[in-house]
Amino acid sequence: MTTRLGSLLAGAAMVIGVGAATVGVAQAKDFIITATKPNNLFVVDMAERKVVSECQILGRGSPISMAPSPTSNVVFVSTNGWGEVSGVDTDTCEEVFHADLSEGNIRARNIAAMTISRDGKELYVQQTRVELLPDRYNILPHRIAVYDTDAGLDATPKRTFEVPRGISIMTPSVDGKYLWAGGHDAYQIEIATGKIVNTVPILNWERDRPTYGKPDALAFWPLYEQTEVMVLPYFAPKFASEKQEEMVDFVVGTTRIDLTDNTWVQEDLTSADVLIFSMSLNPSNTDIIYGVYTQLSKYNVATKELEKRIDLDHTFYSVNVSSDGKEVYVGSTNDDIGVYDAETLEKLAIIKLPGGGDQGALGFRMVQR
Amino acid sequence: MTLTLSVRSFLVAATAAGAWAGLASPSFAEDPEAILEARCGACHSEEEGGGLSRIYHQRKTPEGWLMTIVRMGIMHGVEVPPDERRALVKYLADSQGLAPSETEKYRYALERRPNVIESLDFDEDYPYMCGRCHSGARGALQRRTTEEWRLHVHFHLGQWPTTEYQFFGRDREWFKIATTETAEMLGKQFPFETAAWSDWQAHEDPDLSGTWRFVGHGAAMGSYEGTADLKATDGEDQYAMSLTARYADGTEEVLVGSAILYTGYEFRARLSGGEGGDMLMIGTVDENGNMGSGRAMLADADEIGSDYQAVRVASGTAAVLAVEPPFLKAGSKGTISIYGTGLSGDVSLGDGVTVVEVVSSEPGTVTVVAEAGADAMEGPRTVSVGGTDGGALTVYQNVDQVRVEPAFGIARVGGAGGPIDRVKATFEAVAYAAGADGEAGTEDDLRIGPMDAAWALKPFDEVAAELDDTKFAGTMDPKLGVFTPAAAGLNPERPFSTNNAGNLTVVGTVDDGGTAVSGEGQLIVTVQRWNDPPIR
Repeated sequence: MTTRLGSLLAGAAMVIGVGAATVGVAQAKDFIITATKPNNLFVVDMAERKVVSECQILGRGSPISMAPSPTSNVVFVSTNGWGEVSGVDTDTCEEVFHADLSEGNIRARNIAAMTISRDGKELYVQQTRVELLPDRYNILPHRIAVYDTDAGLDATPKRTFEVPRGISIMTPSVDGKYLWAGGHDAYQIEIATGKIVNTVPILNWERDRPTYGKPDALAFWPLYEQTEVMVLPYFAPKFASEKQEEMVDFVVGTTRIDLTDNTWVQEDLTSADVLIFSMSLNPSNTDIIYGVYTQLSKYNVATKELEKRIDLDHTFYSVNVSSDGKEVYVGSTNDDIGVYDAETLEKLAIIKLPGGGDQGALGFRMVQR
Repeated sequence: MTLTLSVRSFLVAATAAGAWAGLASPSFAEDPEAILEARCGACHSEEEGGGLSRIYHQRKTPEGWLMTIVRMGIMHGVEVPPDERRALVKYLADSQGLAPSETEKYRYALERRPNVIESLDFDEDYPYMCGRCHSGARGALQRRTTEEWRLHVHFHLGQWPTTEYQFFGRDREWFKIATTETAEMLGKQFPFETAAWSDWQAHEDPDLSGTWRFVGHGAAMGSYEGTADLKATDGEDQYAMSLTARYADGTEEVLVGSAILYTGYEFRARLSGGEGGDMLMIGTVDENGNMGSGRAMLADADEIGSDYQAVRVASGTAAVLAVEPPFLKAGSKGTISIYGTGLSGDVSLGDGVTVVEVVSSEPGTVTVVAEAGADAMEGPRTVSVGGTDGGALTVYQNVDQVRVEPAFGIARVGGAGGPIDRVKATFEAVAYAAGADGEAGTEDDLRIGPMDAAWALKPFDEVAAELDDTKFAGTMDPKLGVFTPAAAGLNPERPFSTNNAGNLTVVGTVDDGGTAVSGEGQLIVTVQRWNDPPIR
């Protein structure tokens, strides 16, 4: 009890410390934004454990990507088979933005990577594109389309730039100058020019990591918002030598991109013994990282140790942590969000989303209001 | 149109067309070239030297062309009425099909055989580049120019943009590799122009009209024999078909329907009146149209099927097709039936086996009581009736080993109000003798044949035991070796609310004169197949 009280006090102190930057503003609360099939959008008050807003996304759904505005209550979400983006005001449920990604005979689909600028003015949408000719298809390069978030219901891109194929996750740097995008490798893209100014090798890491085999790195869930660190987990075989004959381990590791200063760390965590879909750091102690799939695992990135693991009720794809670092939230997949004690991983609550539809692969997002 | 609707309409359309074409099949009154021009010509342009763009550079099986036409309807809104669709499939499979030698290695896909583990030894990357979403056979049953294979990649990624994000897609530059190395490999392995096809085009389509004698065998149903009649109807290479099948347990079935011959050898039939519903036959006939073989299966549950062999009944033709049962234990007496056509004369069952009594002798079936000497040599003997050889009778001393076939089976959960039915798995216990070295499981083992068995399940490994798979995954018929999987969907009674998937060991036990001999196979119970086109 003392320990519990002690940690509460420590947490409160930290929150006060952070709050000092916004003197006079009431402490913001954590909300999770998520969507279920076919096209329901929810805002969930995590302290109250309840859905506080429920809107319909126009179109048949079902979303794969979502970007909440940092400056308003508008959430941008993909719809109509990932072919359109709808901006929904979660207070009024009104659609305030709509973009059809396809143009003429070019069909475009957004595969998970979508984000919004730090000032809330620009929306960045990754697009796979194919030119539909009468008797054949012609595959075009992937690109990022830039929209003004106030472009209304018939929004068209104000500019576009080509990007490498395979990008599945995208976040803006804190300085607002760059997009960090994860795909085969991680790319630091200068927003003003669309130029890639840095590449962090992941799939193509053989020069830096000659004793590692090709990793599998699927990063679909942009869960950076609580720490400003985008975590891209990888799984990879590790060999005894550069000859890559004798496999000595199969590891899980992370490429962690610090959005505050555009630096990164790529390091193994431990031997991989369970599947992990996404990982998030704890904002109150960034040595602690949580990974989720059918288990919820708590690791220490400094000691490289697994500190705690529990079996979940079912599989979850997304994991994030409350602003005070005390609660872990697991979501995506089915129609519920699980709440766990960040220290003990004890189950605290299950929040059921109305309607029974699945969240599927959509990563939930966290905002403070 | 939602994805679900798309898949459903594909299934409905494919099934309707797959009825090849039911009793009321109209004749192909219209000129198929005119239909091709009218339905396809708006997008596919006439090329220099004739032929429509894209179409003219591909060759496919009847099912391959059917899938293309159905896809054009679902994805591009091309309306092709069923009778025109049938005419197009027939025309394209005849004029741009595959020669028998080109389909030989991959017939399992056309015949919808369950439990096949593919051997795609022509390219080490192909199973990952292509064969991770569909069977490798699906590509290998097509012929295209290299450029056409390249365009095929563009279509794939345009239609299914997640291809390059999936496992074995995101670990490589999939699109780059697919449009270069893979397209070039396919252009060499499966080229549009081949000598086999040029030669086959000179072949004349046989007339299958007449009476046929057939035998067959399948797990769960055992062996059967019967006769079939084919009568030519108005349509090109089309037949009205009826057959009578008799099973080893004495039951008889009469089935009536229609049949069609594509490409001069691809035999397809759909027959009604069977206990399990409509039956499909997918097979081939030989060059002269006198022999046939393939797989017969339930139209609505094609995992339940059998292998058949047929021979045309004609004066002056004699053949032994099967011996039932195909084995006799040394020192025992038993009734043996020999099935074939034109059978008459003395019966010989080989060294050490005496024909004690001829029970009946008809041209199609000769039944005898035979006795194998106690010291008869183990092994198969050629059976002969009046000098006509065929089939085999295997004499054995003891059943030393039982092998469960298939050694690796797959069943799929389903039902429970969802759109996809359960897919069962059927097993047989095949008896073996140890052979000359006296050791079972070695190269000289003697295959005796499938025998009646008692069936049971157990967990395949520790994980399966912990998850109680034997309780949740489904049930095994203890006599028939038919596994029925459990319902689809999440199961809150299981850890992680997981579905009723399972990893099971199938145990078949044969009673060999009081000695129980068991064999084991593996059964994976997995999830539904949501998209089930004619070629998987």
